[in-house]
This record gives sequence, C-alpha cells and structure tokens, in this order.
Amino acid sequence: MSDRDPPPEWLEHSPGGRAPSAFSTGRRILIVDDEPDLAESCARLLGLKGHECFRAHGQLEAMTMIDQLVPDLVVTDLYLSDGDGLAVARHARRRIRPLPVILMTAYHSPDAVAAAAEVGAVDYLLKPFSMAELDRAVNAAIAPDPLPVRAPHG
Amino acid sequence: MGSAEPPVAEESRSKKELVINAVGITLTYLAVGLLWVVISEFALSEMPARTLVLNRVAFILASGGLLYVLASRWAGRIRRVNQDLEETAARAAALFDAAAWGILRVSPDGTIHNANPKAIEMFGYTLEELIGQPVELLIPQRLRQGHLGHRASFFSAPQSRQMGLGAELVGARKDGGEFPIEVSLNFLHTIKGDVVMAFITDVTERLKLEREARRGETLTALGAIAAGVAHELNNPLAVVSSRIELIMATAEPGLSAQTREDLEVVHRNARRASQIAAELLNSARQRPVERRPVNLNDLVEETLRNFREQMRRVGVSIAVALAPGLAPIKGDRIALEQVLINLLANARDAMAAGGGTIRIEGHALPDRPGFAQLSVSDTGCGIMPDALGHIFDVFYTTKATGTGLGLWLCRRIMLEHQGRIDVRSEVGCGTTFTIMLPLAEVPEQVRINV
Repeated sequence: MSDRDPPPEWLEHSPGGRAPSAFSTGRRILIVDDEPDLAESCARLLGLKGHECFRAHGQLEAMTMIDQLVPDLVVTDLYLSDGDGLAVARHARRRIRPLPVILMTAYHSPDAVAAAAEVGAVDYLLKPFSMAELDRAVNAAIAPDPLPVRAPHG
Repeated sequence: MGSAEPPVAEESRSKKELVINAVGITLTYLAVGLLWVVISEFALSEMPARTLVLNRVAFILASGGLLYVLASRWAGRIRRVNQDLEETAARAAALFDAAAWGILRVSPDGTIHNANPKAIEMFGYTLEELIGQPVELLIPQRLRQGHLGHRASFFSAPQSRQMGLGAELVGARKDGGEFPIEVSLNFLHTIKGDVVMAFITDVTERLKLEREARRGETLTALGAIAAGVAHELNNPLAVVSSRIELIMATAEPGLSAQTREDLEVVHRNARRASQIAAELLNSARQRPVERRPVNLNDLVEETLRNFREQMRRVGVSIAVALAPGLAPIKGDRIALEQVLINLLANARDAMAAGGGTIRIEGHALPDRPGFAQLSVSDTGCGIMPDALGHIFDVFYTTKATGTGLGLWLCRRIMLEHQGRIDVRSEVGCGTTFTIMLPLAEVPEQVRINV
C-alpha cells in the first residue's frame, strides 16, 4: 500500500527508472473509468501501441493501484460512480514524484476545465474521443520524460 | 389641507357637524325663550317697569349675540365643506388626468362621455373623436358583437369588477393596431344617472416580461436536462466509437471494403450523436461572453477548414469574398464560430437536393461606421414567407431532424454581442443570412488612409 513496499521487478522501466531498455517506449498506464467497456477499449488500444495497461473502475481501487503499481501515467474519468475522479488525480499528483494525469469527461463544463487545471492534469479529453486523440495525449504526457511534470498549483 | 383622511370621510363628517349645530341653535333659542316667558309671568310682574325693560333689552342682546356666534360658526362650517368639496373634485380631476390607467366614463347605453389623457394616448383618438361614440369603437371589429352582449348583461346587474377574467382582452387603436389590455369596471350611482368608470391598462410590456421569464425557466430546465443527457449519452457513445476503432485497428486485413465502410458510417454517426448532445448543451448553457478582438477573416477561414471537404462531398462549393484587412470585431470567438457553423450547416441542408454554392462575404459598413458585416448566402430551396418570421424562435424548425436551436442560438449570440442577424429569402432561389457585429475599435471620425 505504500511507497516503501519492496520494489517489484517492473521498477526497471518506470519513469526515471535506471535501466530503460527495450521497453523504453512502452509505459505503464492506469486507466480509471467506471464504465468497464470504455476502460477496456482504452486499455486494448493503448496496448496495441505497446503500453502496459491496468484498469480500475472505482476511486478506492484506483488509489490503491496507484500506490501499489506506481504507473507512469494515470488516465481517469472525472466522475466515478463511487466518488470523484479528481480525488484520484490529486492522489497521483501528491506523490513525492507526482504522476502525470490525463482527465476524461463525458460532460464538458467550465468547472471541469478549471478542476483539471487545478490538479495539474496534462490533458483533458472530452468523450467520445478518438483513439488517435487518446494516443496523442498519452504520448505528450509521457514523452520524452514525464517527470518532472508541473507540480499541483504550479 | 394636509389631512391624510380620504376626502369622502371628511365631507360626511362636516355635514354631520352642520346638522348638530343647527339643532343646537334652535334648541338653545327655544329654551331661552321658554325661560323668559316663565320669568316674566311669575317673577318679573312685580318688578318696577324700568327694570323690566332693562331685563328684556339684556335678554334680546344676549340671545342675539348667542345666535350670531352660532350662525357664524355655521357659516364657517359651510365654507369648509365647500372647500373640501372643491379639493376633492380637484384631486379627482388630477387623478383622472395623470393616472397611469386609461380611464373612460361610459353611460349605460355604452356611450363614451369622457376619456383621460392616458386613454387618449393609448387608443390614438382625440377626445372629441371619442366623446359620444360607442365604447365598442375601442375594440377590434371582430369582437364588437360579443362585447355588446357582455355590456348588456353587465348593466342588467351592475357590479364593480375586473372585466373579462380569464379571457384575454384586446384593445384596438385608431390605426387598427391591437394590444392586450386589462380593464376594471367601476359602477357609480349618481344624481345625474348611472355611470361606469372603466380603468384600462395596456399589458403589452407585462405580458412580454412574463413570456421572457417563462422562457428563462424553460432554458434553465433545458440546461439541466441537456447536461444530463450529454453526460449519459457520451459514455456509451465513447464505448461504441472506441470499439469500432479497435475493430478497424486490429482486424484491418480481414475486413471487406464494405464492412469497413459500414463501420465508418457507424463511427461517424456515433460522433454525430454526441455532437447533437453537445449542441443542445451549448444552447442551454448561459456562458459568459468574452469580448476580445476577433479577426473575422481568420474566423471564416478557420471555420471553413473543417467544412470544405464535407461540403465538397455533398456537391456544395464555397465562394469567399472577404474584404482584405477588415478591422477586428469585438466578441467571443467560440460563440461566433458557433454562429458561422450553424449558418453553414443550414446553407448545406437547404441545398441537400442537388448541391449549389455558398457565398460568404465580409466587409465593413460604410454607412454604419463601427460595424462589420458578414453574410452567408446559399442557392438552396429558400424559406417559405410564413416560416420566415419564426426561424429565430426557439424549437422552431422546418427540418425533419432539426432541433430548432441553431438559429435561435445564433440570434441570442448576436444579441449578446450587441450585433444583429437578419435574413432574406426567396423560395427556390436561396437564402441570405446577414450578421452585423461591432468593431473592436470604433474608427475615428475621419481616417484619411482608409
């Protein structure tokens, strides 16, 4: 549950990892959406691009996975059925090494845009987005090196 | 003066005092007279004649003085009552002249006897033209017969009341114009005969405000619904379009051309559905309007970039004639783009059968400095004259799949920009929408280089 858990073997190709090798283009991405079908779509498409994807469908699940897996990137919906996707985003941004976050929403509103800016999300995708858009946003978020990204409130 | 009591109450009180005074004087005089008779019969008969004379003189003087005092008080009362009456009449006249209602004095046979200035202004007749005329002169021809019946039944059981409760009353001006009114009828019994005072209010403005308030409520409710719909719709639509992309990305070699095309159609329509939801949401949202300089020519070019290909596919060509170096206008870029997109989409739909040309022209207005104009013309089917007056109404549409929001939104945006939108159309020839927008900087009075 915490950063101090023994580092699993994937640490080797995590951001800032010491040994970026053959996997240097493929990143570990956590996709959070309470719509499992859509999470699966995103995961499979990003999988086609060579990324390793994990899926979470709720807020607590997502936070747990962030802590345990420490992905390179979190892509989360703004509204989750058991809570707020913003909380997930904040959780990812509050780490010692803040994780880049991409927000997705089905409902474009000025409040949502402001919230995205406030948590320091690198992109904001409006559903339904095309997979090309998702790919572009992911590439922008992880390349060349996702860290250090803008700090919250920065 | 200065009394806060209503004039009617004052008047009746004065009258009562008058009566009491008169009775008092009479009773006093009678009592004193009686006393004198008694004294002279029993007591004064033995007095010397000189004392008797003095006594009588003193009595006559005393009673005369008393009578004088009382009579003068009485006269004062009468004077005050007269003053009160005059004041009441003056007040009534002032009310009549300055009232915010139109007031008509009408006799039981329906003849107008008097009209106040407001009524004269309201209906556009002169006082001379009104007096002696039947009151039906002031309502539209088609309603006159019905009004005769109402009037007869009113005078058979007269009672002050609001007229036409639950019904919409209409007044007619001299020039034939009609306007909604409210009338209250006040029945008066006077010595000179029965009379009705009709108080008339022009409720055009009030009805307009009420309509606007109702529309505002509709919009708020619409906004909430649209937000919910957009949200609930976009998630499944995202699933649909992403799965189609997945199919196309993974199974590409195995797909027949037909299947690929079918998938593309499904994909396009999933996105279209979400655009419709977004449009609905946009229309309903009260977005604060930005005021920044916007280059109209750039705006047109950028908007067209996304449209040209689509237009070409349906056989529509686009001709653009923009005045070079057109000064920037002041406005909200996103909102204005929305206006342009709506107008282009309408033009395209108007030419759905057989294609045509959309012509976009932009230039400054020489006769209206400080404004620029942009027009979008099509060579399509045109708009029927009876529809032309309604095309900017909310939810009004002539298209089978229209939402009735597009042009309404255009007009709302233009109003928010202190601009305007106009339409000219000829059935079978085409339609031209013209929008006029204020420039970011009002040009100076004379600019030699321009």
